[in-house]
Amino acid sequence: MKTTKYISMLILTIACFAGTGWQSALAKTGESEDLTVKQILEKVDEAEAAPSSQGRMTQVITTTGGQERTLEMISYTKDGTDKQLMRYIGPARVKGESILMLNDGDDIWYYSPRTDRARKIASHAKKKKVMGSDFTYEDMGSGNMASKYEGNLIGQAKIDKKICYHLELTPTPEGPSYAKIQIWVDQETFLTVRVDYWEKGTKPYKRLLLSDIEVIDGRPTPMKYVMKNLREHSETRMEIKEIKYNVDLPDKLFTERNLKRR
Amino acid sequence: MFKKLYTRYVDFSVAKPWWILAGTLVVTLFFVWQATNLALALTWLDMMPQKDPVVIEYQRLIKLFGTTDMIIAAVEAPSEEQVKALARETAERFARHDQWVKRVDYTVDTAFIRQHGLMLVKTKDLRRMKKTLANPNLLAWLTALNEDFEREYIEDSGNLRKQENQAATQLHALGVFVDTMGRLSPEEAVTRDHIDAMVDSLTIGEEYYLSTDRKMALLMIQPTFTINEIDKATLGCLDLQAEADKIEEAYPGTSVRLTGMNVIMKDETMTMKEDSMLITLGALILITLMFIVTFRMWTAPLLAMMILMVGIIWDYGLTGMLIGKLSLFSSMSALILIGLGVDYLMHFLNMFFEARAEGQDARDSVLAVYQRSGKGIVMGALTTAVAFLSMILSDYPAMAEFGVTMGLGIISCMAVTMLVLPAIMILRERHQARQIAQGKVIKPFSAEFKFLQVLTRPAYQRPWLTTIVVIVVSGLMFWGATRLRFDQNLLNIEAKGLESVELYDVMEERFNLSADGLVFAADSLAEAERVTHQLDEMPNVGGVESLALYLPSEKSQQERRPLVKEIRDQVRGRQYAGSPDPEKMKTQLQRLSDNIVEMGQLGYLGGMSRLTDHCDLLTGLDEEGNQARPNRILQAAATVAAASSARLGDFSQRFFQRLKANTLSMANPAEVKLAEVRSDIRERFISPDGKLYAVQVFARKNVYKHFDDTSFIEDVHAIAPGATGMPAFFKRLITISAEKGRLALGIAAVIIFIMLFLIFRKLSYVIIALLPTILAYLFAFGTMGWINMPLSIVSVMVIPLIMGIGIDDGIHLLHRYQVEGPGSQPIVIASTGKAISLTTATTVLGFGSLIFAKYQGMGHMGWLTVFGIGWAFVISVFLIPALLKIMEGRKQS
Repeated sequence: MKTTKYISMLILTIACFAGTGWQSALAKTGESEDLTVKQILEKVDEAEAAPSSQGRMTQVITTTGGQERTLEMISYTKDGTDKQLMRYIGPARVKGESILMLNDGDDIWYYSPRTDRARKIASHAKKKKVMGSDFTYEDMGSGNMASKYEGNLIGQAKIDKKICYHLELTPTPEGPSYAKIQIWVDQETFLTVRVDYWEKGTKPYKRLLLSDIEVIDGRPTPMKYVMKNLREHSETRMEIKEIKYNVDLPDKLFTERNLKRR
Repeated sequence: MFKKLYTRYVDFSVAKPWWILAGTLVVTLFFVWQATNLALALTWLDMMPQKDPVVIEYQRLIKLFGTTDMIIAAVEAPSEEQVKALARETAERFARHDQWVKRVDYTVDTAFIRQHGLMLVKTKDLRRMKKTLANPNLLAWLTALNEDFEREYIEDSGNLRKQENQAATQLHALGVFVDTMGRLSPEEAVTRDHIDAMVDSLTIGEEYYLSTDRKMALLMIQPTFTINEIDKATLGCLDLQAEADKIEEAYPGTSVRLTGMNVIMKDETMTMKEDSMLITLGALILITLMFIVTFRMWTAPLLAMMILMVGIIWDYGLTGMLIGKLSLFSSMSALILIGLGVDYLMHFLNMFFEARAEGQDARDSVLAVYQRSGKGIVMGALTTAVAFLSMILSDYPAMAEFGVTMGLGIISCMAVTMLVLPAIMILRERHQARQIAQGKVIKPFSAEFKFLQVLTRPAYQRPWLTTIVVIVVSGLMFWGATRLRFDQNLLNIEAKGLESVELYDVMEERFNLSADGLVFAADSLAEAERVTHQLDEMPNVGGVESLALYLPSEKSQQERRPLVKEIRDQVRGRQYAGSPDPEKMKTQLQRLSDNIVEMGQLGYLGGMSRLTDHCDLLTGLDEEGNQARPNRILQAAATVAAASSARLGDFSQRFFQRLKANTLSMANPAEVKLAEVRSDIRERFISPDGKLYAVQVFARKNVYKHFDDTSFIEDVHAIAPGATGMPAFFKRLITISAEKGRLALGIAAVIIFIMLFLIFRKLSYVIIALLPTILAYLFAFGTMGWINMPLSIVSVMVIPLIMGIGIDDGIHLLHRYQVEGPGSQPIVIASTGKAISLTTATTVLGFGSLIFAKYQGMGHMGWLTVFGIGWAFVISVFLIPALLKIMEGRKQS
């Protein structure tokens, strides 16, 4: 009799806890049902696109000789990802090598201080790799999700203990060159935590993982970016070392002429 | 019933010892006869499940195309000319060893390229070349080249990665171009031959397989033997190595080194032979000394050897009857049995001499062995044997065969010990009695391991403290075990400083190429072409070779023909435009310099070391980007600007003539026919029935150094699903061994658990018997984790062995405790503890001697065994008496 009583209590306790979890899951589902895909993407844009930023980051690559090489760069953005400038500051060999992207990545310049040439890269080069890394130029200018993609909500998923919206998106006519992407958006911060990229076929060929979120100038910011090329089995790791938002950056910083000013 | 049985047997041994020895001889002779039926299947292939698709395909390809595993010779000399001469000489000399060498490839068929070059170029590259080859006038060509570089490489660094090797070759030819232009200075002379050689380098390409610094060349040798013919491979590689040594001797300052899986296996065989001689001798001496010191019996080592030999013969006889063959794994069973089989002898002698020291006669002493240690010996052996025999259930032939051979071997050694040793000991005693009668003084001797009693006494006197200490140490070891890693560099098992192993790294560094790769059999030329081109663009691929490189498919030829005709027509109509404007030439050369500098920068940012090195050779930059040497392109630009118009005119005219002639010759739209392809190439890539086409693909990275990175194999399989070869073969072998090994270990654990339950009939005893083995694993892995010693592909093979041996210690101690009763810890440790310390010592000495092996894999095996068996012993003698004490206390309360 005593045992039966204990078992009944135990079941009741489990049911209470399960109920709480169930209710909270329902609440989350309700929230996602309230938001359309477009609204979620708008919130992502709002969360990710800062009016301007200035940061220092590192990129780790593995050479064909098997050694790891760390590159260091300074990055400036303005108007979301509409204007971007990346300047390598180390190692000494690549100091000053720069990439300027304007009009959301439609216009790209590459500058090398060794030759003092700023070369405009053809617009079809957007889907090409940036400096041999696993990022493409269009990955770098991946803002304005709401206008570049449309699609549907697959459901919810947990990534790194975060409950995320799982969306499948196809590019709009003005969108990037991928056949489709799947993204996982943190329901709390509306930051993208994972992106899978498809070209064709049934498997994604690239995967971007964003982690180590820190709140900087009031904005949650992923400090680590890992782009894995699942087809070529390579990966590029980027880490933000420091970043400032809402920095007053003059427009002339983002000009071809400025590229040559070292 | 058992007591009656063994008492009768002991009495029979006393009465008729010679009968027993004669019977043993007859049985042994019978098993010798059976053992002659054993076939030796000592190849890697024999170890794999014969129905495995990788094995089936590998065997099919070997039958069709001969061996797929090349021997690679890397020759090095101080200059480019010398290295080319050395490559020719080496190729000629190696080719003379036709017993071992089927073919030596060291040059590209440039005559064929001159005749059909453009038809062999991929359609998309032809479109690109249409622009660069449109006008053979020097300035126009240089301008088009600059545009091509900017379009293809600088705007798309992804292309650079895909075409790193192609770009590197192009950069070398450009080096020849700028150096020839540099000869336009007043101090130097530029001849027609110089210009012709330079244009040939730009159009026809490289004849030899040379490194970036032009001081090393590669030769690909197809042997007549396959990797599975170990004896032939060893002899063949030794013969070639001797030839290489002779060449080095004849040409001081040069080196001729060999590598490839065949060569590594040869080195492995030689090292293991050398190791096993020294180590076996060392281990035998140490074990002999131990026997003599412990039992004061000079004949004990001989006795051990005899018992073991008979046991192993019985084992091989039984294996011959049941399986009929010995594989690479099971052939090692004799060595392992020497370490394990001797244990039963140790237990027997220990108890026998103990009884004799107590004053019992020979008969009663033998009986005491059966009474006090018999069950322990038999059950210990049966448990170990069952652990091995359970491998049958793994469904992996190599493991099952090894398990059966080992299981039968252990039972045989134990049976010989228990059945034959009594008769021998009786005869020995009679011999001694005769000696005593003649006046010789012989004292019964039994070594006492007092230190063991002293050491372990506090442990069972304070059992709870001991248990707590074990728990704490277990925690630390668990922490250490989490740091344990598996060494993914398979070449780390080889002896240190092996030339063949070092050359793998050299090839990766200087050629972006691994010495090993995969082979795919395409069922049509078009398929071979598709696979070749797709693989060629994979970043993990260092090189692809197939007939498609010499003979494009019909469809491709049709596709390319109009483009080739177009190039031919536009070049045919071109006239010499006269001497170029030196300033314009200078501008284009400066532009070329800028392009190469930027390519070098992009190569650096993208981690393309070989490309960066090639660019730096032209631009004079060092690794850090400092101007360490003059920029050869800018030097040429300055020379051209200052050159007289007559010299520049002559130069440009000859350049035009040669480039036009070469392009017209290569732009031959006629059908490329199979009959035109060199016979050795046909033979290499087409199956004898003409239905299949081999595609050989080499990895960019050393495949064995980064074995966890399976991307090369995966990439190749995505394009050519049936591709096979040593890397795929080893990957499969390791996967199967790991999978089946885990399964076998799991099955063995369950069976051991059941057996222990049947022996002791008490769950608590079963747990106590198992605990030392479980903890021994944890402690061994923990120790390795703490001292940063990784597990290797060879050392994992002894993991099941630890279970088999480790469990014995517990069984012997517990059995003796059951015989002696509660409170008998001191006697159990003094007697059985001594015996297991001796058996542990022999095993540790046997396996531990492997630590000194040159072949590092054996060393890893030695360390893991020493840690595993050593810890199993320490934990058994300290923890088991303590746990038994706790149990006694609980019973009393």
